[in-house]
Amino acid sequence: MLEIILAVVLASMVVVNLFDVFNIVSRVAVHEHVLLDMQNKTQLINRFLRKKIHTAGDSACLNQLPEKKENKIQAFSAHDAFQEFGINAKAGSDVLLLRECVKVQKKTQYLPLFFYIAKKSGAFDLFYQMSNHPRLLFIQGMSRFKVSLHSGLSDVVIRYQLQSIQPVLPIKKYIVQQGVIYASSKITIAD
Amino acid sequence: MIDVLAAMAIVSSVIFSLLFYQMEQLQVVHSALYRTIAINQIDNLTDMIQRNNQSKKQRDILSVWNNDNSSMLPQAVGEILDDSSHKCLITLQWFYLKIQAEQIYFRC
Repeated sequence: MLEIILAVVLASMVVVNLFDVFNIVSRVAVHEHVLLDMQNKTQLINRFLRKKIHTAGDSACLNQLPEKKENKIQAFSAHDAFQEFGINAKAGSDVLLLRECVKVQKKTQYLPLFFYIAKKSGAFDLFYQMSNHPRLLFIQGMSRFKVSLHSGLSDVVIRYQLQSIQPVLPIKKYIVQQGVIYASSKITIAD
Repeated sequence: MIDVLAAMAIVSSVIFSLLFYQMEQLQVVHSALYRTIAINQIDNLTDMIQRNNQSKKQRDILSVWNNDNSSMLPQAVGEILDDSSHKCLITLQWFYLKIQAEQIYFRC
């Protein structure tokens, strides 16, 4: 009888500890998932934006140069972008505008492309918008997006901050990851 | 009694090894994230170097670039070596569990 009681007590102690360990394992798995997600997003944003900046100013779809001599790459504060284009970006962030030939509804057109962060269901995300078409969600979870234009080191410098969509246990904090993109347009014909 | 203890010992060892495996995986994922950042930083530097080919400007670029490296990677140090045949070697080194590095040759 004593042996059974001892076995049950020991077994329950072990089970309680195992439950704790299992809990930690699942939290670590969530943390791992968040980091993987950040890695994918970092790769995606860097590749996509770099490529877009490289091709900014590509007016090959036009028979002649654009009528208005507009800058192929521009940066606006959220306030200025709202005044000029009606874009509702996060206050304190910037809006990147690139002009190039893009295919919209089976037709290639020389259009402005906007990149900016805005709120969608609680969190801030990075959006991509062609001219006045509806915005498209590009990267989920981005809390900072600052753009500066230089003629010195590079045409465009983008500093961004990715943020995990949900807080990570047990610290209950959002994981953030800084990023930077230096890129220059390779196209000169539109200038 | 011995049967119960033996069974518990086996279950515990399985769960603990799962935990260690998961911890190791977390380190691998963290390490992969740092490697992605390093590759992006190397992309940034090649873009900047190709745009600016004066040596004074390149020193400024290297200093800006290294500031960014140290803010995004632990104990990161980067350098660029130019052999006179317009072939540059970019090296970016950082420390996470051990010294890690990425290197790339490009025309400069």
